[in-house]
Amino acid sequence: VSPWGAAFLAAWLVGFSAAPADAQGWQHYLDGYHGPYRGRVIDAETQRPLAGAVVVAVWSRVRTFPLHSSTVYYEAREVLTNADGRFILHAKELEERAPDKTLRPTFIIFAPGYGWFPQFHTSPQGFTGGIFEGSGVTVELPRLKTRQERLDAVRPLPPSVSEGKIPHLLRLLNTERLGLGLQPVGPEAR
Amino acid sequence: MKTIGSVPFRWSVVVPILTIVATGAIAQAYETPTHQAISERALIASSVHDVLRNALALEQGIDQVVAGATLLQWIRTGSLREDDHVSGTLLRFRYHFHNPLQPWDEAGLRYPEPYRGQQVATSSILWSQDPNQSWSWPKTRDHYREALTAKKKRDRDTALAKTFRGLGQVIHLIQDAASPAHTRNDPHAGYNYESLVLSVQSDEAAAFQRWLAVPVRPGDDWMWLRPHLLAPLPISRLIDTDRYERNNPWVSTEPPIGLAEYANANFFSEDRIWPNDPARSFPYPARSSVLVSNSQIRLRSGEWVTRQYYQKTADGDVGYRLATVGFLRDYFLRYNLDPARADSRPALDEIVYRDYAERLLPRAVGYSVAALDYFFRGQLDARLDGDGLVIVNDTPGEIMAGTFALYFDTSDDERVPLGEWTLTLPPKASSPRLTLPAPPKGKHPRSLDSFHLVFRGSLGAEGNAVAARRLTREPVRGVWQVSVLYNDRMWIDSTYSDAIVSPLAGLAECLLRRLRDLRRGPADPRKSWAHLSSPRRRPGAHGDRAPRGSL
Repeated sequence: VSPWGAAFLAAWLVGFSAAPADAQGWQHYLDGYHGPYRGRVIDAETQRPLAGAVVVAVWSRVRTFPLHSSTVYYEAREVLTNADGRFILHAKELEERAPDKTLRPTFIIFAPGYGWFPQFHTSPQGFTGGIFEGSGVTVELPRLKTRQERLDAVRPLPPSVSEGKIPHLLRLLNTERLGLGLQPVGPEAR
Repeated sequence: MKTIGSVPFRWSVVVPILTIVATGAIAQAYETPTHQAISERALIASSVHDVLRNALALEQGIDQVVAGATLLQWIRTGSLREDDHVSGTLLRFRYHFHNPLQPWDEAGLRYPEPYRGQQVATSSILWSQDPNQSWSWPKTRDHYREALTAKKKRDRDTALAKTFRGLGQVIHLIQDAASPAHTRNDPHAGYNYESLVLSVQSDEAAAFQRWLAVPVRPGDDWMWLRPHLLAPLPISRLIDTDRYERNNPWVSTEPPIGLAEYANANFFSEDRIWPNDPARSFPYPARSSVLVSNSQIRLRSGEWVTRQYYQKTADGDVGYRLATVGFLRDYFLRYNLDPARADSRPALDEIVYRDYAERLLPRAVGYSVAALDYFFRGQLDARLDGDGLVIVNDTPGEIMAGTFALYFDTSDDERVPLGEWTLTLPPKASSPRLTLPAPPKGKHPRSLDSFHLVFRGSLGAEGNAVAARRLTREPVRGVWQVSVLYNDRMWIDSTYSDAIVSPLAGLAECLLRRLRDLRRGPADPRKSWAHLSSPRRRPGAHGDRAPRGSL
């Protein structure tokens, strides 16, 4: 190994050993399988189930490079809610095979005409880490009343994940975009 | 010797790698998802959407899809890619530091300490203006010019996507100046401010969105500060105005002030908390800047505890918890460990980081907004005066000096230059009447709203600025039909829901005259006219050829 290679390798190893950890007790890293992820999605006003809403789970991982670490996209899975607004998302194999420093998943729940989780939901309030683990929770999404509200809601979507992993989200998002007079995004745009 | 920026390649790579082995340091910045959210919020809060819709007639503004993604997605992509490690420039993050208390050519990341050792990369300010790096402000300007003037639509779309990616990369650098570690030369390993921000973004979205909701903007005065010789573009002043000079921390809350100056003077980073070593210390926050106070803290377990903090009470910004008092000592006591082993040095905990984020993230958004608005600030107008075109500089307070070029799009989306003029126009000044040349042979405008005026040149203190206006203005409520017939051939025949009476009708007349003069001699007055009307009163169809615009 050349001196350059040795320096590079050493830096890499030091970097891995120094990856950040949360000081407040919440364990962000996956340490095995945390799923299946469960929940129920309902209309915040009518309390009726939202069937056909898409639930996207996104896994990121902390990659440590020489001198620098960065949180980057790792994987995504999606599932639709059933007639009762319920979903179960299995990811056993994915999580068991996930590389070191993979974070527990974050979730996006979207239905056309509604404000999406986690930015617009009305319940549950507060800390949402891990809420879909175990028996899960009921998520209430507000129906958006004006065109401007719907425009503001769709702008940040889709998230920066592989398009091939989220066909349902792209389809529903484009339904909403076309309904608002916007061009479609994703493969349809090409 | 090969160089990266102004730093010799050998040192720029070897020194940090060797040093990391010795120190275990890892540079932390806002995590890329955080940068993306800040940039997204900044673009929405900026005037860019309106400029795209009104001046460039991109109907969907920042929601416009080009090259497969919306312009909003492209700016997010740029904010992500500025942290690339190996593609393009090796270890780009090295260029994301700026110490406002150093001369700018020495203000970059320096190992091992802020005031000694080797600078391993140039300051983020110089990096953002380096014409040799792929995603600098000057390169982004080039992409924007290409987006406005390239012949093929595909090339224009690609260049517009690159424009927004480039803007995402440039404002990433501004956002990093709102991270204290990046202004205090502190590459730090372990849980830190940026880790907390990402945690809140992931698991407390509502709280995170509240931090971004109300941008704190830098005002307007920064644009008029004297340019720095090493980085003459005024955007450098968003990071460093050179007003904070070690002993005057009170200026850090008085606009105009650079974001790096504000972060450096008012906040700690993990390894720069009142160190005894002068080579690692910064003058502020000082011990005179704080008072000790108790805070009731609710732990995630639900338990309430009292914790002592250094409350920032003087020397710049005030009213927040700057650091814990004896955090480790308290921990040692609570668990019956040997107090003698406790380090009484202040520490930064989650509560402190939240107070930091409340102040720094709104500024990260607001200063990014300022940069985006600055990029698109050029305003120009055009009107017809007889057979000529008159251009007006509508940019408040800034002189336009350069070339003004008029283009039109053909029916197959080819963009064709029609004329170009070199002018100097003070604010609100109009050009003399400019003669419109005829379109090139065989090239016809697709419609009357396909004309673009593009400026390239000096705009105020920016030497290579770009501004544009699509000549579709003065919306008139109602539906209008614009028709131009030349010797019995319908040259333009379009309907507009919010159409223009002037200058476009006049422009059509001018072009018709040019065609006549250039090609085919006098137009047959019975078979040639330019006309604007309601569709129900369409000339010819109802035999009521109107006198307006007829030849």
